[in-house]
Amino acid sequence: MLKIEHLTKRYGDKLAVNDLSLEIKAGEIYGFIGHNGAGKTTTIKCSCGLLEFEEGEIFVDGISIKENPIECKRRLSYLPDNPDLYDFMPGIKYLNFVADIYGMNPEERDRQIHKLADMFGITGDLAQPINSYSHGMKQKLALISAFMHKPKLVLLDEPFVGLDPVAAHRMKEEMKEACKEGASVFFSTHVLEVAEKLCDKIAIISGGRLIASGTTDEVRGNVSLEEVFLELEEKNV
Amino acid sequence: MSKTVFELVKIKLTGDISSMITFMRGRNSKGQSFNIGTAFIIAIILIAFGFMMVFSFGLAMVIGFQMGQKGCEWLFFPMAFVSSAVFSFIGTVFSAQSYLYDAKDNELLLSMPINPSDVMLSRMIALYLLNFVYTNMLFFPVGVAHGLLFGYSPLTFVYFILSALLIPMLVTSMSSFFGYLFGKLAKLIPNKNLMTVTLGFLTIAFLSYITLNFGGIMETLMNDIDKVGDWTQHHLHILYWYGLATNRLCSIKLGGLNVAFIGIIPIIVITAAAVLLAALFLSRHFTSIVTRKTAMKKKKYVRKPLKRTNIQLALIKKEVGYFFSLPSYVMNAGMSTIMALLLGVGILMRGSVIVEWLPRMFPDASTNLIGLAVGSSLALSCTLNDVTAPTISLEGKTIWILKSTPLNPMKVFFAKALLAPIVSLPGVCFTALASALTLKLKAADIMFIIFIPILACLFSGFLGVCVNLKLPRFDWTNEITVIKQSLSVIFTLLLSMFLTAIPFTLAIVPSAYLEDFSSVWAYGICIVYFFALVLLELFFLSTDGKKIWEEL
Repeated sequence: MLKIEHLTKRYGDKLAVNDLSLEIKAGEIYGFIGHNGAGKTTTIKCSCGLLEFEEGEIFVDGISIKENPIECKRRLSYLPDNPDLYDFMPGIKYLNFVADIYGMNPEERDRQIHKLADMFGITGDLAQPINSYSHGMKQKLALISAFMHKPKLVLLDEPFVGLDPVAAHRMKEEMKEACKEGASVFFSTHVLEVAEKLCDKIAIISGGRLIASGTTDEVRGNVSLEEVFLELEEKNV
Repeated sequence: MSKTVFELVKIKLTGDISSMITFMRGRNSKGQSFNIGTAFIIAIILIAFGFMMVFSFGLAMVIGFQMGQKGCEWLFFPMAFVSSAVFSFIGTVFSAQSYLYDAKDNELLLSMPINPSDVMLSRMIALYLLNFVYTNMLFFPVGVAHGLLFGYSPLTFVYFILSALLIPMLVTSMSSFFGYLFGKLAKLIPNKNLMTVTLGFLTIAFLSYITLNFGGIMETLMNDIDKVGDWTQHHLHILYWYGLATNRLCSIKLGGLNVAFIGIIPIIVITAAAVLLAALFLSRHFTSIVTRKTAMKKKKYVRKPLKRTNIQLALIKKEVGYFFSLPSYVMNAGMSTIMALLLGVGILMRGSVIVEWLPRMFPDASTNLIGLAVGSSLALSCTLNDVTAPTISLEGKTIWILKSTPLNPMKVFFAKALLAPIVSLPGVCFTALASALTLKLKAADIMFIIFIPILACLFSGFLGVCVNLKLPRFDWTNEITVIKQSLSVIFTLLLSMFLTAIPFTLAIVPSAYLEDFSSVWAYGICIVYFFALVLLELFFLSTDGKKIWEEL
């Protein structure tokens, strides 16, 4: 579903991502871990067409993001680490606006929005303007907008930040549910326990280079993911 | 003043000045700033200050001369005191709330071991300095005029300096209280935006009334200056005493001594009391004021069937929603609608005068100039609408929404550009209707009056988007900085007015002076010109514009 081939991205002289290759197949939950500034956000932003890149190629469902970004974006949804939304809109209007962009039919949008809003417990707040929402509520609203149009690929940057334990649990359930239906989820996280328990596959990035990737069992071996991560980081430094 | 207060004032002033310079200076889409921008800003600021000071000086000379003629020169400084205070209050009153209570770092500072009264004091000092600039733009040249007209004694000079320091103090305490009351009032009124917009437009209406009737007001003032003096002497004793104290020719004998100089004491006492009251009261309540949360009544969500809208319309609705959610945006860009409405009102009231006056002014004109005159005035008023110039920058941190979704950038540009005609349309329609009713126009003229302003609006709307793509700013913390201070807005406004004036000059001049120049030619020139400009803008957006958008 997502194929990254030799991705290289520079900010001026600084090499943010260096020759990174990854493949995420349909139905997989793929965790992306690394220290601050390792290149996780840059990789995700390049994958959803938000950032242009110098070298390499990225394919979403077999379509090149460079050649046909709009077709790729129809198949994916992206959520940044700190999603700023249109504060002036009530929650329901924002979701309806996103549904309009993805061309969802009225019945489907009605069903999906209310299913997900009920799941995250914010249905009663949908008439409120977003500027009255707490950080967690904004995160929930953004997650609803990411999942409601049933994208084939979900790209999430630190999706668990700001979520309460119940919402985090429901979010994991939704990720699994989406993957059962054939979608792929690619997300970055600093919470290694979540990555260890939730992901089918894991990639570790350090200094813009991929230093390990594979199934969760392959990556961690007989020890915990935390130990593997620390050891790899130490070696890389 | 404690070291903390001094540091806080320093941080506030350097932050404000550098933010203003950076925003006006502008950056291109690759983040490089323009060196030429700094010189441009300094030139604009100097011209504005210079114009205001020369205007005040000239006015003071004329009024002062008349006062001298009628023997009430003592009225000179009291009038200057009141005018400067009112001017400064109007200029800074809306900044008071953001300076004092809505500053982004208030909560951070209050969490530190700093006395809240120090934070409040530092804010008031910053506001005082702003008031000082406003006050002395008017009061300083007036003081110079006084010296030239009536001469200076050392005491008058000292009192002039003292007044220049006292007026901003009085205004600062007043606007601080006003800011506090405004916040309190906003708590009670459900629609705060509506209140801000109403107050803003009332202020603009008041200033427009003064400007439009300036000649009449001045004439009345000049004729009746002695009556004003008489009234002040009998009703506003404090100002009368202040006038006696600040005029070297006045004297009040008490036991052989001239005691007129003590007349300034009441003004000093009143100012000191106002400052003290404001500082004590507001310092005491500062924490509760800045941390107050407006208790919003929760709107109950009622599940209704959701309607599907096409993408273009959804984007337009989003832009319109954003526009109406920001009072400063409405007040800034809404000026064009007000100008157009005023033009319509003027035509309704004085239409017959225009019908008679124009043919007499241009007897050689072969064509009906009225349609051209109204259409071009309306189109020019539409170019005052800079609503689209900050629209890319205003996406700010939410730009990921439009960029990560499957949207053709042209749809985004169209939605933003169409905001200009949407905002201007009520004024255009009203004036076109007023013209049709009162000016006895032909169908072609009416079509021109409706069509050409809309075309001019489209042109200025797309121009705003093009310029903003070239000069975007996403590092703002408050929308007002991009709406009012960004280079994109200033540049769009100037360029749009200049480019709009060209076709009308090309059409009106030959229409007025050439016998065989038909109105069809004049209308044709304008329409073809604006069509060509819009096409050029669309070409830019569909080529370079798209690329810039992808790089943002």
